[in-house]
Amino acid sequence: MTDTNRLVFEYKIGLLAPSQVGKSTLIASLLSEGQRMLNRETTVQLTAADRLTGNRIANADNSVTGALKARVFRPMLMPGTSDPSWFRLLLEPRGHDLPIRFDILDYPGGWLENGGEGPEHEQKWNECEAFLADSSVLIVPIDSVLLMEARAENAALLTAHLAVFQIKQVVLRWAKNRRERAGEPAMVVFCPVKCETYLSDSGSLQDQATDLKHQVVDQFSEVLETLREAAPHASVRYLPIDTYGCVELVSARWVQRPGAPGDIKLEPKYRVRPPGTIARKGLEDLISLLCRQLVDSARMQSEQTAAQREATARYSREYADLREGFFRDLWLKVSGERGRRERIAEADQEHYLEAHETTRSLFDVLAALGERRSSPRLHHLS
Amino acid sequence: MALGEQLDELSAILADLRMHITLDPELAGSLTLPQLPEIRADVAETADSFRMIATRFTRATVNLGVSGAARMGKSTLLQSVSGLDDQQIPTGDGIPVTAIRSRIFHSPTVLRAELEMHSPESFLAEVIAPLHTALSLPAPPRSLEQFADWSYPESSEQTRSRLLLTRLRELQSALPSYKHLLTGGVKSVPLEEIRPYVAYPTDEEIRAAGPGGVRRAYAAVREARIECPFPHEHVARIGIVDLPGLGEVTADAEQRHVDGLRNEVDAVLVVKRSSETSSFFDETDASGMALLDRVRGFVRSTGEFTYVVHNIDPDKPHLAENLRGDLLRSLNGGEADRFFTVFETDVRDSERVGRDVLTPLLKRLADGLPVMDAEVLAGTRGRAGAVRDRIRLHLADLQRALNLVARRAGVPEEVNDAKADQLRSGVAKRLRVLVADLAAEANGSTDPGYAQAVENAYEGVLDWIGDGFGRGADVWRELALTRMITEGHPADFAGPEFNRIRVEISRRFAALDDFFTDRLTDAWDRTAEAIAAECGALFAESADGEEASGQVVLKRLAKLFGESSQPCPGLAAAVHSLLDVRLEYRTLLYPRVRPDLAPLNLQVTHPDTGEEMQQVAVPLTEGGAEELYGIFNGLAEQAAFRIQKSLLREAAVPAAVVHALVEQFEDTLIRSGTSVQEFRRFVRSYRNDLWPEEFHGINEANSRFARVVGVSKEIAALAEQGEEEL
Repeated sequence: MTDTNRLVFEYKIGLLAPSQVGKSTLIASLLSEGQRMLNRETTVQLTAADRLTGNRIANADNSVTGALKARVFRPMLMPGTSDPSWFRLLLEPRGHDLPIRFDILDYPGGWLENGGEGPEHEQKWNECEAFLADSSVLIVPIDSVLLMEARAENAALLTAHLAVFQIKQVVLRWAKNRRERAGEPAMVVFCPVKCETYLSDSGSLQDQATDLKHQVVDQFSEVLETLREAAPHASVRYLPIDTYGCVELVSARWVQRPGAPGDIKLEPKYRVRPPGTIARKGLEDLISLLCRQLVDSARMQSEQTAAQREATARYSREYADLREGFFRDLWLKVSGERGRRERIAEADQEHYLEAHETTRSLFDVLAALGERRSSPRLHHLS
Repeated sequence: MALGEQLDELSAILADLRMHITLDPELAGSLTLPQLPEIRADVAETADSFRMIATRFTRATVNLGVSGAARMGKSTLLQSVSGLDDQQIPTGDGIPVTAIRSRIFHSPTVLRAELEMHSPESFLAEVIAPLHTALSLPAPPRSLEQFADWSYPESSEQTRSRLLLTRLRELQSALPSYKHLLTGGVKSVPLEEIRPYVAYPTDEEIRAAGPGGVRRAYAAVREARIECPFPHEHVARIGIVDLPGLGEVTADAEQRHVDGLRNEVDAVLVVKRSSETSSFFDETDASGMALLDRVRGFVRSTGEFTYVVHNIDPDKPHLAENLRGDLLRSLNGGEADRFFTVFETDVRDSERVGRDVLTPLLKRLADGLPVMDAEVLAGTRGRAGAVRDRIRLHLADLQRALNLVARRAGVPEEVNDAKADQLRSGVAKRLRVLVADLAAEANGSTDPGYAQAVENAYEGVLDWIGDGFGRGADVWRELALTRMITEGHPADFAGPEFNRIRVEISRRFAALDDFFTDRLTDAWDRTAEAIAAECGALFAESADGEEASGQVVLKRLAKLFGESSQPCPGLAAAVHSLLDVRLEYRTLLYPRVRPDLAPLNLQVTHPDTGEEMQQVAVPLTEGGAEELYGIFNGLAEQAAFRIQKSLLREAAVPAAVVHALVEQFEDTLIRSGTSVQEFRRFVRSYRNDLWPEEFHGINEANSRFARVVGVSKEIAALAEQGEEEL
């Protein structure tokens, strides 16, 4: 936004998850699926804000598609993230020059677990934490396989493997931040991922949806409590997501992994469910949720701006029309001051009308997005 | 053992049982046979009767007793019958002469006399003691010396006593003359020398002896047996018994008379002489006849047993006439031989005796003896029957008392009940602890044994899957390809293969049964241990030293409950229920894991939509076979994993089942409605096995009790046997 009077909508979306949960895959899926979904819509479109983001999305998509075609899926073989990276995306209502930019931060999950994993990354992690604390929306991806397959004997390690404590710390900071900016949107979405094994709507022969939600609420009860206390206005949602839809768990076993909590790690083994077509349930709901949230945020921002501009325009008009006495008025006209005031008043009116129009447009987009019904997967947790 | 001895033993062991400390006094009092002495005497008498019958039936001779008051011609009759003379059978006018009983038998060749001699003891007991009794003197002397030194009164006011005292003093003063003869045993003497041994000394002899006293050898003789040839024809098998005269003044003369005749003789001849002083049937004769009724025993017809010999003096026929008339009136009611046969003879005339007495008498006896034998037998049987009935009656009384004792079983009920309650509460306590332990195990952390068993089974399945489902991966793929190509589609191979894999996976998880068996065995062991610990010596180590398994102990317990003399069906059922349980994967867990096997089907039903979905759609190529193998592998491994997960979720089940099982057992055993009662019955039946040390005395009481029961039964059996034999 080069024009200073032009409304600029920029938001941050933070992801909170330890390593190997699938943050990168989720982001990639979110963008590629979001593009596919929103391109079918008429109201908004989603685009990469820069080339780097476009490349990352393409790479992630390619690796997943290739693996599925080979009927082999080994998430452990997916490369982990070594550096923080920002995915920059633009959500644009069609026919309006109202780009809503949102940035999603991807970072090495280990940093969350270990506070930057050493001094050399501490600065970067601090930046990440600042970004997360400043995010409008927090997404908490949760490894559903870990959640569901941790057996009783390793139940005590589950909290550590889910990094519940670290997540709670970040959420607390975020919540305080949000409370200070009560007028701004605040939403946390708990997203169990890799859920296609447990939810029958994606083709699984078993339905453990209730059990999965129960596990999430149980394991993250302290995080939820923190949210309720620190940011009661925040919207908290639960949305299980299939990562691929056509992949399901075959088995999972705990294996030795030095450095991991308890020095063990759950190693899942998946099979690709024929015919291996990707059908990620829940992702569209997440995209819709994010779009609605972001557009709503933009609308609120626009409304505020419009209100401010209306007041300014009214003031400018009153000031332009102000009669200050014969001689003074004569001087204003002669000196051109009156004309300047008139121009300002007209400009302010124009800005106001512009903001008003933007707000109206965003209302329209929001109304259009609101027409899309959410799937039964989406639940409120607050 | 004879009945009499059995009765004696019964009496002794009853006394033994009564004396036992564990028997309550009231009960002990009922353990008696108050009439045992009488019964014993009856039995002895019956036995004697049978013995005498046996003697009677086996006797080779017809024995004739000769009875009658003194001086009636008894001895003369004997002389006439036997052919002996005054030297052997003394006779005398006016005074009694027969001092001892003589039995004279016909023997064509032998001529001898055998004397059964008194020992000093039998002399004092059978000769002196009755005189002391009759004279109301103090206890008789215990030795010959005492007798010799005994100071007897000079005289007595009573005539009879005076006479008896005279006899006694004569025996005392003459002791030196026969003391050396008191040898016991049998002494043979020549017939011509027998007189002093069987007859009182005559007046002449007494006088001739002077102040030194006459010899009284007869005092040393109990009985004489003489064998000699009788002078009569056809009298080959005759024996005659001579007895001291009736009415003779001796101590217990009548009793000795009866004893001498009873069952020894087949007929009695009562000799009655018509004389100046005795030509009628007087009171002495009447009482003598009455006495012979006692001798007669079971012989009903007096006339067949007792005969009267009218001793006639041919020189004084008028006297004979008088007596004849009196006998006719007094004895036979005016009708000749109506009740008694009267033989008239002159006893001095041997020939007449043979003709008038022996010949008709023996003819009569030829007919009468079998009848008398039958009467004697019947009478004895009747008597025996009465005794047997009496025994039965008293045994029945005794049995009732024994039943009462048996019910209390030698131990006061309160002792038994206390022990039973103690056992029950002891077992209850131990079982409660066990149930609490089992509850803790059921509620505690997962049984590592179970997790390991599941893990082992799971690994076994994975190995089997990895091995190409037991066929080898290459073979499997090859087989799949061949079948797919042959049939033109994969379903014909995949369908049966899914079935096979499903069944095999399930079968392999059934290896958990070993774990269940271990857990059940462990529960049995612990339960058995808890019970055995309270059961004293009942389940002590076996003889071979090997500890019995819990299952064996519980089976034995169930058997003991079942076979208890007092039934314990509730307790037995409780143990059986515990033993009958089977913990099996098939019944216990299979229903829980069955849904996990559902994907191992050619077609599956979607849980949401109900849509039937084909799981395998692969090209009919090697690649397709490879893909199919991958699909099967994934599904099989997934099913195995899910089963493992489901089973681990059920980790508490085995422990919970075992807990519930033992708790139910405890509840039934301890708290069922009949538990208290059945524990008491159990203790009543097995207390000696449970606490042998403690109930040692009771064991003894039981053995005494058993002996009483045993002897009672033997007596009853003997009585029954006797009845059959009779």
